[in-house]
Amino acid sequence: MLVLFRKIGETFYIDTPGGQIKLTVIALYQNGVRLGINAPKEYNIYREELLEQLQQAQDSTSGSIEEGTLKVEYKSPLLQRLASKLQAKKQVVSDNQAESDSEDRQ
Amino acid sequence: MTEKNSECMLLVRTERFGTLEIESSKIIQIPSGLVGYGKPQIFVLLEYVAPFHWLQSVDDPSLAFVVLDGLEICKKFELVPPFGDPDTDLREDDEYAVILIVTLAEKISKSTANLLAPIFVNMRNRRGVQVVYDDDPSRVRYPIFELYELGENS
Repeated sequence: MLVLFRKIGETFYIDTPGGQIKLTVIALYQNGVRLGINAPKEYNIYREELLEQLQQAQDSTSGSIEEGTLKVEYKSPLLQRLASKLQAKKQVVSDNQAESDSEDRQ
Repeated sequence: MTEKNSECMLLVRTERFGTLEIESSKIIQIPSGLVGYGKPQIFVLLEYVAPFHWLQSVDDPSLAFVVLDGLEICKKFELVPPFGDPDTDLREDDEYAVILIVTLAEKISKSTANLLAPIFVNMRNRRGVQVVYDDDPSRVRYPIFELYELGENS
């Protein structure tokens, strides 16, 4: 890890293949620091704890919903347009064929 | 290879549903992937118990998320769509869908949707991007009964 010393208002740069990232120390508090970040638009910047929360929320989609347990019959028209029918491939395809077929998909 | 018409069919292997036959035009591309899941970029949306769908990864048979339509709620919270985003080429006059990933609880009515990081899909090119709105982290578990009046038959 590189450790730098910067005063309030001072800046440092990180060169990346996608462009330059500029970091500025904006303010200092007793137990925190406010940073300003200038980065190319396609770079995503996340606070660590936010990433952890996100991953936890997205990880626990392991349950299932029984048909007929819900009173709602709403079907989103937009998602319907994006969706495919849940249509299982007939089991006549051997694993080998499935392999070569899936290579064609690109 | 079974080609019934000019449309190319893909075989998508999944852990939950076995091998599926999907029209190649039905693919949803998410070039930057989902936050925390890295590589998988190609997905299909599968019908499930209404109002839910599955967002199934084509690259990883084990990766599938229960999802909901989040367009209305995003508008309510005035979440600005990622106009100008290079992955989706989303322009202001494009029609777009919003997909929210659901965290299932034991009771469906207690389940939550991830409103912190919705996935926007440009309907014009079926390309999507997950956007993190960092302003209110509590929205990572937004109760879905507030989105849909979900009651359970019991």
